[in-house]
Amino acid sequence: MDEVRKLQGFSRRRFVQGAAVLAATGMLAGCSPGSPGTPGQGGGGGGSASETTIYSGACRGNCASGCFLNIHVRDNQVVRTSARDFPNTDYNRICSRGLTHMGRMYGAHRLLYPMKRVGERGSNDFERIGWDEALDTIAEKWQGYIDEYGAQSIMFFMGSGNYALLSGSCNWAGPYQRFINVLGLSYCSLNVDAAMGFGSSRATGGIDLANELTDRKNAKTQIFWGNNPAVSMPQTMHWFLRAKEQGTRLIVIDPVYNVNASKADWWLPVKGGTDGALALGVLNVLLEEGWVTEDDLRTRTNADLLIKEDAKFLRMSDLGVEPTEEVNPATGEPTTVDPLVVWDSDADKAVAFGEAATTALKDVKDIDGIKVQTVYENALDHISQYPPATAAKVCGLTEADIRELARVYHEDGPVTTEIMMGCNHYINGHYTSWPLYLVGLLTGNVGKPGAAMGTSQEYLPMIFYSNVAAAHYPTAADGTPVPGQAAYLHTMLMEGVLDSGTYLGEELILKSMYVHCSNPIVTMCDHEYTKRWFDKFEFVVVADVCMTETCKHADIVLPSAYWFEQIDIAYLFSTHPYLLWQDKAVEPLGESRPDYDIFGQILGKLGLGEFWLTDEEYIDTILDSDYWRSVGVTPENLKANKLARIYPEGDKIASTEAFATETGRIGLYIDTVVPAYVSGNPIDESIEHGLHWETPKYAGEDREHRATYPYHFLSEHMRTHTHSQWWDCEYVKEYEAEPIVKVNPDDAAELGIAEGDILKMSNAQGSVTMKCALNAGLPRKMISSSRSWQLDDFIDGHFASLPPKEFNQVCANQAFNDVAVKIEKV
Amino acid sequence: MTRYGMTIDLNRCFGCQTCAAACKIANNLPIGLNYCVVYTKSDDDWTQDGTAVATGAIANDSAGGTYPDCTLSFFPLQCQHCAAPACAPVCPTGARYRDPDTGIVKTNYDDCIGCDACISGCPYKVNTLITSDAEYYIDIKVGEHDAPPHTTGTVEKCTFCDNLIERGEVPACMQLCPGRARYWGDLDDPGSEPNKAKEGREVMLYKEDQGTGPSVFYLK
Repeated sequence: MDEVRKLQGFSRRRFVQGAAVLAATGMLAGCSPGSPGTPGQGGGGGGSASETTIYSGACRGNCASGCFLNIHVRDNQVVRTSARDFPNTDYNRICSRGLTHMGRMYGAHRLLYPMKRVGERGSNDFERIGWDEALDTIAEKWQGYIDEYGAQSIMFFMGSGNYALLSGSCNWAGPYQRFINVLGLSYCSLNVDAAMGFGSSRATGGIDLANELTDRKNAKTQIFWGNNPAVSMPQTMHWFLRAKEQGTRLIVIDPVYNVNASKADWWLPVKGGTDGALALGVLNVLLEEGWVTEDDLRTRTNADLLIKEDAKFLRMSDLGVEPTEEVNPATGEPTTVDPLVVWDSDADKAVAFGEAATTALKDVKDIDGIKVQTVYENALDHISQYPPATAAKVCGLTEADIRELARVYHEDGPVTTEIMMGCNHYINGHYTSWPLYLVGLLTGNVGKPGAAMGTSQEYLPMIFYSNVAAAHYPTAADGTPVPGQAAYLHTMLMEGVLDSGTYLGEELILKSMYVHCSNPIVTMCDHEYTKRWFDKFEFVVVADVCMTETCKHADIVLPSAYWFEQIDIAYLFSTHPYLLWQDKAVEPLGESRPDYDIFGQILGKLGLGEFWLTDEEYIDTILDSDYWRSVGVTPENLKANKLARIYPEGDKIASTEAFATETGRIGLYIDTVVPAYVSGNPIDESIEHGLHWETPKYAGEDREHRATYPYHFLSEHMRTHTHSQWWDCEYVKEYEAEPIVKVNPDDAAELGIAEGDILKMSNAQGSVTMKCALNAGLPRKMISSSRSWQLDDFIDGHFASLPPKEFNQVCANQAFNDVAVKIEKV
Repeated sequence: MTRYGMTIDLNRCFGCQTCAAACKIANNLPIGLNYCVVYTKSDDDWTQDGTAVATGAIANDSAGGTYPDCTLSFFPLQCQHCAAPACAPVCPTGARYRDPDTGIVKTNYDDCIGCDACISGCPYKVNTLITSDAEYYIDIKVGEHDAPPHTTGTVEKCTFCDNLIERGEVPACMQLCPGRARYWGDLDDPGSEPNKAKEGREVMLYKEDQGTGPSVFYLK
């Protein structure tokens, strides 16, 4: 509590508080959550108002905003949320979601007590139970599984529903990992948003290329490429608009004429999923015009490395020089050094990388009888397949567009390229990411003021400098380490593992699952598949704040306390560089409990309570690092100031002095293909070492699939949901009321469809039925809708039934946009 | 004297609905009542509001035109707090009046008889009659403790959050605009934010031909 506003002179009906209010309207009477739309009695003339107290808090779902909030509390109820001041008020932020938390906290779907399922999976037929019964049941079941099958038979699953430290998820530093490690649980990845990073890391080794939002003023050009900030990241938008007003040119590359396009100086209506061809076309122009020279490539990329016929780099050991053992200065670990080889054109001989003044980029003859190709030649072989005229045809633009975009990157820098997930959500998305990043990298539009790529979601210090060694790996009193995480699984493989009882040839019998901060049955691709593998678990526990579609498939549902009902720290993936302190503004509603406490209580029931800490102890532990102290991030500062900056003062500019590749340079080729997941299936490595591009597997216009399913179905975010969150909030339905499919008016005319008609979209995998709206911003043969609604919201079917569960051979990535469908009017 | 008003930069507005939601909550508005509506404009006809889910459209954010030559913009609309409000002189009880000290067009709810005169008289169609007992999404009285009463048989509209202004705060819709499109202040002060924002810009007064003298300026 940091501010109390005394409000005089109002005498109103005293409100009953908390759960009592809900009991009064019948919400506690039944054991299932209430039905939506039950009108409340809220406003009327009621409400005692002697005092409003304002607490500090944070909105922290996965929209990457991390809004700093004032939580207004009256009569122990949250009644309003408002934007709280950052030190730089340009960072102040809130949106329709952050303003309507009350609709979630006190809405009809809020979970108020533990429940056990008594009907079929998915049936919403549950009985209220007490916490003792819930925890005892979990402990008894789990102990049985541990005794019979080992702790790896219990799988932890989490989504991005809460980017807080203590009760949150997906933050690399949270106590969920301590919980997993203490028990030795298996873990299944969400497998989302993976392609862009996987592809770009082939060029960069995985370093961060994004500058702080305060740097946008320094860009001469900003390009949204596969990014829809007006809807998906609204708190970044005013930085771009202000920069535009101050002279920065705004270019939007997007198949849809959306809000961003409407604000752009230049909109490039690229055909959906063909951005890789566009990037390759631009690379051709950059090379053709001499805007990227051979010398640039020689000095800034690994173009002068030599590739053997086995696709590996030529190394000195191939030429008879024994590898040496050295200590890796970064890790302190001994490592084998076998230098890469380049051709020294002055000396006309092969030498170790770094030892030649001038290296050959092409036409290197056999070396010691070993046939070689330069990386330059390999890259050009592929880039040259997409000259601007060819690329233009593939991506639906003109050759002049492609040449102009190349010119912009060359002449109109510094360029900040805002890249989000528009190009990511395809099965083969990583093939697009690599050339797309090369456009910015090769033109020098990274690593300096105004020049950056990616989005300004902050996470690096939290991942690298939090004291996870102490926080995640406790030891028993006798020094015995905890077992640590067991199997690492992937959604696409789940059904096979559950059916066979094996994973990668080893026995893995899965019996139970714990779902934390996630609604996978709604958010994962292939709804029927997700339900199938989900329901194959013998015993499922889901903790959530509201009765999601996923909860309905649980055996035990645990009521999580809401974000404002506990202390916590909003920890990462915000588009501002601050940690934010969450006060406990109100008591947990009903019998709900913080997720942090639930973890500890489960461990306690299993006799492992000694491994848990108090919430304050956990915060002290995770922030116990020299880095955090060096920037003044301490528990004391956070509690006192309610926020702390994660970087030193001044615009954070990404450093690109050294890339995290073997050469420290930009990568045009990798010699070791490391898949992002292990499937056990064979991999065609020939398309993974160097640049390679292909149209989307299902959505590609040239794919046979499109003959049967003529419409590319684009999956969008909503302004009023954060993924499936706020589904439970009635207020925001005044802006987005129900699932809607948007159709180009000319397509609609051809199909005999009018606004408001009900359409069924289907493919070989599934179908969904919803109302349609006409939107001229969509190109012909592309329709769009939002992947944020629950089963009951659709007229029939489920939007998540349409996208494939299938992964690329080396990249596990949900392909939300790689979808083609046919349309029928219902 | 003060004449409160606002300037809204339509180039900055990107239709996020934050102003509408802020208003909804701060004023504890019942189901279906909105003082502030963000319309989607799919054409350049600025004599019309546009479309909004809040007023019956199926979806927001749909562009007009023919791909790729499309049109899309947004138009946040609320009571214009006119210098010569069309709603006041037609009110038979004097419940609707312009406060000369603030320029805010106010309603004395005790005197309002819900007769429809202001609803018909206002060219902006921003008045709503509360026809039956107001219903709410949740059972908590949200927003400010002194939000408007939402009494059956009275007409309500945007108050410029005069309750907040009296406490030295700003209207809820002004508290944080993600696009930084909204400027609030005293129109009689040449150096105020809404006046400064207009400098060098094309200014639109909505339905200016109605002679109402709006206190909301739109920048195009």
